[in-house]
Amino acid sequence: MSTDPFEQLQQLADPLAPPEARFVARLRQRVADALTELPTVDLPERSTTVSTTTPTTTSTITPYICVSPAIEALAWYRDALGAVETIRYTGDDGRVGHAEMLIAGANVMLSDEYPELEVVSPTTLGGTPMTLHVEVPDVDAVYERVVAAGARVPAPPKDEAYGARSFTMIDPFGHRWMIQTPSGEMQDHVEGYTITRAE
Amino acid sequence: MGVPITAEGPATTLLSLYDGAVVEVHGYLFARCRNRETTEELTAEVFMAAVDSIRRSTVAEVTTAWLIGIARHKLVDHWRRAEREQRRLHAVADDPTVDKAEVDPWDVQLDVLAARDALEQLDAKHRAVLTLRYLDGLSVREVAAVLERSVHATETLLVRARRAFRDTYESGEGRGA
Repeated sequence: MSTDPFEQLQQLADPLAPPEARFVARLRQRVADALTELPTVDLPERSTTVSTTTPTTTSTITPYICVSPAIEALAWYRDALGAVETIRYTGDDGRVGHAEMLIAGANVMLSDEYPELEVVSPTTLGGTPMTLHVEVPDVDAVYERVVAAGARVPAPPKDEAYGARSFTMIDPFGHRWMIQTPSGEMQDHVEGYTITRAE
Repeated sequence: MGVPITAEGPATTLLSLYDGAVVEVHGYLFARCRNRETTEELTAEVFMAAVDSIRRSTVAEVTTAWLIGIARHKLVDHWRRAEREQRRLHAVADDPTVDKAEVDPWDVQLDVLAARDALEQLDAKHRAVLTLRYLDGLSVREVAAVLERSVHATETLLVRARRAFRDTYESGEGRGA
């Protein structure tokens, strides 16, 4: 068997001649001129919007929670926290492999349990080491709503010394949330604590 | 060939890369379109498109390979324009002998100059598919993606282009080219 003569066309790919010096210099000037028209600061790609499906945060760190069962949790977060689901990957085995929702404009990722990947939820762990902190416009309204939806809430919202009205809840799937609305000034002294601030 | 973004950003990278890259991009295009004027036009288009991407922050890494990728798309656009031009001049009838074309084996040592001439005489779309497949070494699937055709349509086009190239090459030899 001989090789395909068309493979020999590869030889034609060699450059035939260098570009003319005048052309190179002219184009370089054009490129340089066009580049100097660049803005000096990088503007964020996302603009402010009132749309509920566009995140208003551009944080580079995003909570990715494991919650079981994920389908029920998505419905609960929708009803209790006004979450807007933006994407869901349902596996052939019925488990939610990945989903994303916006809560108060911030993105939260979640999945079902994948014990084979050591991805387990608070119900399996018997607790959670993490608190999801959410800032909302009206903490009392959210409190009413989550209580009605069946969240476990040890205490109603209260004005805290750190300048926010706040309450903590454990949702039906075992995740702990701290929900608050800024309220007044942060106090300089908090009983029982020494406050250290970065300069 | 990869040049990472410097601390000063992609704009600086493009300028520092320019002297080497312009030779590469120009060389890539000239070997494939064989016309100095068109090559210069397309080379300029490549760099201005690169500037545009940098302005819109849609580029992750400014490299010569990235510029060659832009050049490939500019070349395909050029061939599309040429093809539309040809279609206006004369309707190209499909060759009814095409389906038997590949059955007939062809074993020849190509003469580079004659091959170049033959390639240049082909219709733009035949030239495009042969160039992407054999000069650029892309797979049929990749050629299909660049030309925005289905894989099947690309295979058919490739068969026709090979046939057209062979006919042109052989008739050129007959003339003693």
